Parts: sequence; C-alpha cells; structure tokens
Amino acid sequence: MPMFVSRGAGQALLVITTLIASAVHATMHAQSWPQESGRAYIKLSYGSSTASQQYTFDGREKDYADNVSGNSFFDRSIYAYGELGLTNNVTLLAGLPYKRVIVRDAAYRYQTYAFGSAQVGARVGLKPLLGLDEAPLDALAANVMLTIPTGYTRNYLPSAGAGQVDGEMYLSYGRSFYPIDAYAQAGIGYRYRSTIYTFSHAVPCQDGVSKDCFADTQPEYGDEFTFGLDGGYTFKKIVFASLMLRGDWALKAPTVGFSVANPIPTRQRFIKAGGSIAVFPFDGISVNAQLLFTPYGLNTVKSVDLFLGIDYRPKFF
Amino acid sequence: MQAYDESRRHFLRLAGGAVVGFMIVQVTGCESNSVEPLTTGADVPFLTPNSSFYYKNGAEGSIARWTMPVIDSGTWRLAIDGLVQTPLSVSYQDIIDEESRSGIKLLKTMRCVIDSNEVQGLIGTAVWTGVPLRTFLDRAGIQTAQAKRLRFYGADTFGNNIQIGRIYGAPVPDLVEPLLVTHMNGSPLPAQHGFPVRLILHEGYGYKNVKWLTRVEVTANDLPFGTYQDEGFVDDGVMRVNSRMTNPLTNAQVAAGTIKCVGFAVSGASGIGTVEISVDGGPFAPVVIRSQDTVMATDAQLASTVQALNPTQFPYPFRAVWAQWEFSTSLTAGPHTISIRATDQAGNVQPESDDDISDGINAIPTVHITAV
Repeated sequence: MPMFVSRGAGQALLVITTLIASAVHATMHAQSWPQESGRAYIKLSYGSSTASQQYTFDGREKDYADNVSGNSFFDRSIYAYGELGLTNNVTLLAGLPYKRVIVRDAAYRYQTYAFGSAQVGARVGLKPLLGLDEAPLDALAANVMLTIPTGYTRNYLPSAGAGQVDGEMYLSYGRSFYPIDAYAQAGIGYRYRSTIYTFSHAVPCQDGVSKDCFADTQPEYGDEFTFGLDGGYTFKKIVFASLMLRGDWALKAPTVGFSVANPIPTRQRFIKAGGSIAVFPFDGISVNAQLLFTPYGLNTVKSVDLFLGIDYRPKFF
Repeated sequence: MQAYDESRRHFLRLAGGAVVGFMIVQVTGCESNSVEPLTTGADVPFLTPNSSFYYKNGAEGSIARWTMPVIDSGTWRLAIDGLVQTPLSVSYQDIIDEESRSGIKLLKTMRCVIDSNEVQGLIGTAVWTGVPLRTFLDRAGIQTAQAKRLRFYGADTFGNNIQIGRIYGAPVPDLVEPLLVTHMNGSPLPAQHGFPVRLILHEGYGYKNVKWLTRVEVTANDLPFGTYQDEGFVDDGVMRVNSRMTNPLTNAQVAAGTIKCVGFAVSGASGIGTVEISVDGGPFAPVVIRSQDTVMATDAQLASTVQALNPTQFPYPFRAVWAQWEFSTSLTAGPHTISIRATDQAGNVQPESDDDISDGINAIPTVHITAV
C-alpha cells in the first residue's frame, strides 16, 4: 500500500475495488479504480443471453427470426477475465470468452462453438498524472482496450464475433462513499471499429446454397460511443448489490437491419440495464450473479442476459 | 524492498510472456459449427394453411417506424387516380359485390425474394380470391395513350408497380391478370397478409403483391418504382425458377436403404417442365412430379380455382404454383449429397451458382444427409 494512503483510505480502496470488481460485466468493462500493485482479480463466469425479439434499425420490436415466435437467439458462453495491478496506477486487463452461439429460423438450428474475441488492455489512473489529490475516495481512469479475434471463422452462421479488431478508450470517474460501503461511477468511451480482419478467417460460402455460413463481405462496422453508470452497496460486508446501466451508441444510426443469416449488425445502438448481487463467503472470493435487460435498442438483439460468476482476488507481489 | 521488486519483476516477466503469447497465438482448433434440422422434414401440404403461412413484411427493414396497418374494412377505401378520366374511391363492399359477379380464385405460390435453400420457410401456396383490378380501372377510364405504369401503395407506405401492358397488353393464356384480393384459402385475409385488400400479381415474388392496398396511381412515368426496387431488387419481380427438397432436410440422418425424397419446384415464368436429381454428384435424372389429380384431391377448394376450371388455358404443372415432386433412392450407410435442378417450360434452368440476390437466390440446392 503506498505511503500516502491512510489506513482508512486504503481500506476504502480495497473495498471499492472489490465491490466494483464484483460488478464487472463478464466481458471487459472499464472502471475508475486501478488495482493496487500486485493485486489481481480473476473471474470465471457463465453467460446466458436469450432473445425472441430484436430491435429493428428504427427501434421497433419484431421477432428475432421471421416466422419464429419463440426464443431464437441463444448465447451460452464462458468468460475468463483478469486484472493485475502492475503498479498502484496501472492495471493490466485481459479477457477471453469461449462462445457457444445458437440461432434458429423456421427450419434449422445453427450452432457455433469457438473462442471469441480476446480483450487486452490497461487501466491507467489519471489523478497522479494530472497532479490531482490522490486520495482514493474518488478516482479517474483511462481504460485502453483492444478486442482481437482469436482465429475463429467470421462467416460461420452464427459466428463467434465480428472478426475484426476493435480499439476502445474509456474514461471513467468513480466516487466512494466510505465509510459507507458504497460507490458510484460513470464513464464514457469511444470504440474504433477497424477493418483489420487478419485475426479471423472465412470459409468459402455461396449465398443461398451453403447453410453453415454467409458471404464474407468484411463490412465496415460503425464506430461507437460507449457509456456506463453503476453504483453499489455492501450489506454487512457479506452481500453486495449493484445497479447498472450501460450502452453502445453507433455514431451513425443504423439504416439497414440484420437477419438470422447474418446476425451481427454493422451498426447498432442499445442500452442495457440491470443489477448484480455478490456474496463473499471467504476472504477474497465472491460468487456473483448479474442480470441485464435491453430496454432500448436499434438494430440489436433484445436479449435478457444472465451471468453467473466466481471471482478471486489474489495478491501476487 | 529488494525482495518485493524481484518478486514483482519475476511475476511481470511471467505475466508479460503470457499476455504476449495470448495476443499472438491464435486459439484455433476449438471451433465447431453445426446446422441441425428442426423439423422432421415431413411432407409439405400442397395448400399452406393460413395459420402457418409465412409473412414477411419487407417494409419492416426499409421503412422507418413501420407498423403493421390495422384497417377497418368499413372505412377502408382504395383510391384509383392519376391518368384516369374519373378518379375512383372504391370501398371494400364494392369489391365484395364485384367478387360475387366476377370473382376469381387463383392458386398461387407466394415466395419471398429472399427465400432460399439457406433461408427457408418464406414460401407457401394458397387460393387467393379476388376480382380483376382491370374492372375498376375500366370504370375510372385509363388514359392509355399516356399511361405507362400503375403504381401501388400500401397503407404502410410500401410501394410497387407494374407496366400498364401487364393489364392492357396482349393476354398471356396461363397468366391471370392482377387481382384485388380479399380472401386467402377461403377466409378473409389475415391482418398480416394485407387485410382488407391486397394486390396479387400471379407471377410475382412477394414484394410485387402489395398488402393493405390503399392507392393505385396511373402514371406516365416509365421508371422502375417500389420499396424493394429502391433496395436493388429487380423491377419485374417475376419468380425465378427454383427448387427445394423438403424431406429429408440438410444434415438429417436417415436409415440406410431406400429413402423417399420429396420437395417442390416453382417458376413465375411458366409451369415447371422437369425436376432432376443428382445423388452424390452423379448425373441428373428426372423425377416424378405429382399428378394434377393427386394434387387436386388434397383439398376441396382447389376444384374451384381458375386453373382447375380452365385446364386448357392452364396446363399442369401450373405457372407460379409449386410443383411437388418425389423420388426414391437407395443409400448405403455414410454421408450423401442430393442436388435438385428444375427447368421450367420456358426453358429457364436453375444455375450452378447464384451470388446475385436482386432477382432471388435460385442456385441448384444440394442437401447433405447421412444414412445410418
């Protein structure tokens, strides 16, 4: 623990990073507080996203698949995610999903298993760099992240990801309410969606004939603003609950829809809202659940997302 | 402090190596993809019940804030205007009254232009009851010297057109002129199929058959027009020759030995001429198209269709109506492929490949099955 951090403030920092870590979405999500030096956060979770409806390009709700009234989109994936405090101010981030994605139409069920896009990045606390008060009750961090395909087939129906590299810069500000075990944070980011398809590949596919794939058009995905807002509270240091709102907002509004045959929208906007609950049965370990709904969207799946996870916070050095 | 630094350096070397490795080593070999048929591939009925008839509202993907019109037939009106001597406002009752005098029951397969072996299920066959649009155009008095096209507008703003010659040109014996349709398989049009009145263009893909029809404009503008045309689909919208196997479906497992295959073929340009099958890449050989008697026996209302009542004018297999075929072959245990190729009576043949969706995807479909 750095010398400038008082005992109380240090405890607050640990509490806050623990709380926020428990609220971390199964995929990488930017935060305000870097981990302390040598501290790691490791999370393994199972995600279940299900949808019977989609939001059309202009925000209407319709069946996800034509002439299928029940659930027709299923994402059952396992996520490994980790953070490591290199210093008190710099945290490495990495995540890797193993995706199992299923879509169906009136006649067929299409299923793909594959490692999805890996995420690597860093979180840098900005207050020291800006010469601001370094007390940890509030925090400001820049999160820089890359999303890199792991060699999956981008034109499988369905695919495990968009197949190209994304880069994101996310600024997040957080505030602890210590000695109350609660926090709130908000952030905004920009996601650059490149046309680098080097890290995925495509299989030969003929539209209308091949059933396991779609034509490899390598579209230009629209850049997005990302944003998030969340806050949480710990009851008796055993049970943590949080509420969250997060979203992706394509700079240009979508003008064309997507289909079961090519289910990854090139542009989309959505807001997800929900909450999480975590229980800390042992020191440094939590078991958590997160439930998210999609109350608003353009050109996106109207899914209900449930994540069940277990995380661990070892100290390596 | 020194021990702390060494510990950190050691850890960081390990972690750094892991991260770099993570970035450069692509995780492959853990990927699989499967396509599994959800249905048994049971025989498809010749007439598709309204309850299971597909509906694809093309405007949903192209018209902002699209909603399905909910129309009261008592207040609905069809405007016929433009290059006419007397603009008309036609009521639902006007059409029902006319149906009692000159109603036509047309047997027609409706196929969405994006229906394909890849995106299946957007096809079905129904008996459509209506009256010739010409009946009302004649009452309005078309200015035929100037008029080039009819533009159709739905209450959802979906649009399409036909050339004026489709109605006032030389008649084609086996082609029924465009109809204002109120009933589908003997029941009033369901809401999602265009209640109270939709256009039916005998030879056309779904997008040519405007639902919730509210206006017919007679125009001198001879350019293509329509919601789907704006998205690059062909203006004529004639269903290209196509075929499908409906049982067994791709990736199905069947018992080794003799299996029966069934499916359909359809063309808007003419009736189906031949359907041929190739097993495991062998030569194509013709298969049996179900007879007219067999088909007509499947539903009583088929006997009153214009095609059944005028067999000379409408030779079987009918234009724009799916021709159901069947075929038996013996398969040994193992994987097999079955390809289907249809040719219509106008000589149009399904191509080996088709990457152009503008006129529909109609390449020769190949079904992969495994005999066990």
